[in-house]
Amino acid sequence: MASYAQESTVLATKKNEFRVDVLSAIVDSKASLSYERFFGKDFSSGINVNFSNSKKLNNDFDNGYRNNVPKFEFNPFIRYALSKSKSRYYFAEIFGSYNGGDFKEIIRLVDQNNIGYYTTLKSTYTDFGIGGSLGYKMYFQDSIALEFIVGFGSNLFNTDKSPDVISRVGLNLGYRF
Amino acid sequence: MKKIKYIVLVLIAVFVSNCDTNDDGFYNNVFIDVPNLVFLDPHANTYTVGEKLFMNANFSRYLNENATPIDIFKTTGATEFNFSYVIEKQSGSNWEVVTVNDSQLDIVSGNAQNGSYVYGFCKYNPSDETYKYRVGFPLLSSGTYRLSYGYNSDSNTSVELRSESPATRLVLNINSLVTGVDDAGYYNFTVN
Repeated sequence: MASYAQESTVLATKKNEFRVDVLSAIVDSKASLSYERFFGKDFSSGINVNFSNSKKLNNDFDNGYRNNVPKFEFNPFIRYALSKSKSRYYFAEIFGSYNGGDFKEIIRLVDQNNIGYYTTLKSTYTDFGIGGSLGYKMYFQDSIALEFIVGFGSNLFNTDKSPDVISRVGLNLGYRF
Repeated sequence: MKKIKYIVLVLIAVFVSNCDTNDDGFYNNVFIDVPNLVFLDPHANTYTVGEKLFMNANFSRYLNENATPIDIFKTTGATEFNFSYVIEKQSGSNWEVVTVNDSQLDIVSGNAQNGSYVYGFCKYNPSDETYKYRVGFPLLSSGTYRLSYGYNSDSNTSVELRSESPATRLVLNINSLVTGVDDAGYYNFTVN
């Protein structure tokens, strides 16, 4: 009980945290970095930034198995801790997403001999989305954070080109200070 | 117990991260309608045993799509278009698929494989810029037969030709109306 109280007190004095998503880096070749600022007892907010260049997604895009491929995301979030413990707790968050990437569509053109043909036209897209996540976080040695998060949302304004669904899944390793 | 908890967390994370949230589908498909690309040799509906039923295709890389020309080779880069048809023989009240060895097919141009259906390949000839197929199917026994094109098509009365495109190129699906079939999509014939 004394240990729990001491741990909570130590963590409460540390208001900032940086994290890197080790799972996305390994599985999706995605660089995913997060910063979180802790306010008061249960609330925190932050931003998650992703840059992706997955070989699998690029191949699927080129081979026609998807018509868009996300390249970047800026995801600001607000979190609420669902558990009393500060060292191990569940949390819920809402997040926004400014995201973009490459898009491909089929168009019909006419050559110099006035003969038609179909081809693909590559362009880029950007969109804004909103979603929610649930996660679990635990601390080791009052500073090292391990966080698992699963969240989904929807793009809102440009879904002819952008993915309908945006996901926020990660296994993050972080440092709180 | 704690270790198991962490392992489960990692496994769930890996599983969920592999869920593809992009819209499903194949986006390199193009569909057009061009009638009468595939046809049988003109023949009365009665054949004799030992005769061959010749299926043909002979179309230019330049086709008319809604009265405007389209270059299907430039679109796909494909040197082959495939299509399929089925030959069945009546056995009592049932229809049974007729199969022969590939070596028994009389392949004049293009290529063909025979299994539960005949899988035909129209081959591109760069010299005259046409795709060609001419394959004779041996009629080895007497009886009542029927031929249909609908095995890989959505419609009974049309055949779907699909380009064998290189990996990153567009795949062209040509829906081609066929003549000489009844409303159910069968060409009925007899072998004596």
